Amino acid sequence: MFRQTKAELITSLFYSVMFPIAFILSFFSLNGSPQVLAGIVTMYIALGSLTSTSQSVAFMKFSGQLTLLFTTKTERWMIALSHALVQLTVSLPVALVLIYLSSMIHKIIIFWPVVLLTFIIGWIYNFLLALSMGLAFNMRLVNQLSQVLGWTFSFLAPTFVPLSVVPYYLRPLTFLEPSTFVAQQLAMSFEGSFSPLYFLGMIVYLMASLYLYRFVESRLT
Amino acid sequence: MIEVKNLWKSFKGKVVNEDVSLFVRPGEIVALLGPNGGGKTTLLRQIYGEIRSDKGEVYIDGMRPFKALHLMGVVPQDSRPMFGLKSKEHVFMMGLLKGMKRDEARRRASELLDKFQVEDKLVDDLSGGNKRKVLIASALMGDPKYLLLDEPTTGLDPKARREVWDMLKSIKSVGKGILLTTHYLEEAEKLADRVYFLKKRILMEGDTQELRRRFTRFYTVTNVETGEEYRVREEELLSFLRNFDSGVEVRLASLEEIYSEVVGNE
Repeated sequence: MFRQTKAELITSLFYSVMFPIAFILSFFSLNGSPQVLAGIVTMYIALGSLTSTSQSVAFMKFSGQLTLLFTTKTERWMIALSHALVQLTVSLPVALVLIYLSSMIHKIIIFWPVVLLTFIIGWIYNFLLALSMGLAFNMRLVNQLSQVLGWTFSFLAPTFVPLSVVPYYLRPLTFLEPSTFVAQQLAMSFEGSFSPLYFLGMIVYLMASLYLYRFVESRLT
Repeated sequence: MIEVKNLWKSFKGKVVNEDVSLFVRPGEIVALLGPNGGGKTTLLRQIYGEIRSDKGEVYIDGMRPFKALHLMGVVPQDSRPMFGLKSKEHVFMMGLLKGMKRDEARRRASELLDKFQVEDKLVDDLSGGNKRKVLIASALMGDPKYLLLDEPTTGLDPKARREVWDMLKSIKSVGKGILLTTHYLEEAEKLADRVYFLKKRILMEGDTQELRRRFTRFYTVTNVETGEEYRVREEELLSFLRNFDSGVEVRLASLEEIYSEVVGNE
């Protein structure tokens, strides 16, 4: 899997080098708003997992590699997980370094257990959504959907901005976006607090994505 | 032995396989012949457990498909080797995934690729025939008792096809059971000990030679001068031949003719 990820070197470099630079520049200009940091970390969780995993799964399904690996008694979710974990080894340290640097520079109080919990739950349900998408649709559709949804969940949801700036009548719609709960919970944890409501939202998404994956898997078999 | 008993499968209400039963013994090659959409690939996927059956049972040496995957080497339809790997790495990795020890997997990978005469270079750069050989070698890792091949020679040129045939004959000679799907009648005729004609259900089955004998009530008579062909009943053959002054060629029905008769009439 590591050998195969060489093909994704460009995107990995972009997200682990260019992104932090862009982040640091914007973070300073916005006077260290925790919401910007929350948005960036959400992108590491949501975009990385959603785009890369769904596209890889769709390609492996298209090329017969999922079947080939299945014949070695490796389940489909394990194949996807091994790919996603390689991505995680790149994105997790970068995200943690960014959070740590921000806390040092801007004297933010980080509620680390909540950050890690949010990262884990958010990553798992984005992984499951990506896996379901990759298995359910054809490769071309997945390539388009993952891009559109990735950007929608990042910029048409309250990720880089607080929920309070979203017009009241649009708020219910933002709750349909899985990134909302992750970003808002992270923003709270960067202010040293925790929201049971956002946590509950993440648990609902986790259960729903697990159900969705099981549904897609049952349709495939 | 691979045993398939009364297997059914449908997708979105459309029946793909209907009450299919078959068996494959170690040391024999069995071919599934049928038109596109006839249910061959679905049946194979049911046998190695990638999809569940609606009804019926599959046993591989008495075990359920997923549990028995270590007994089967599978070359799925249209699959490509995993990109970015060299041929030896590919075969070696598949061995590791099947639970082989590192040294053993390395030795066996080299042995198989030497035997099949495949260069150790990036799989992406190999010819179609050699890619298929890498997949077959990968399927043979872990020393499976049975080999399941879904259209193993589709898209290959005649030379590569014959190389794969020779390879399959050598695999059979060491006692492995092979189940392959194909729509090349010539392939089934050259390789298979037994064939099943499948079009949703089994239309006909039997020993390849036996099937030809069963159809010997028809002979194909070819006028060697004009090239005209006649299908003549066994009991009418002698009287029919008396009408010819010129040379004729008389042969048994080929598998292709049997196939046309059996599948075409459905």
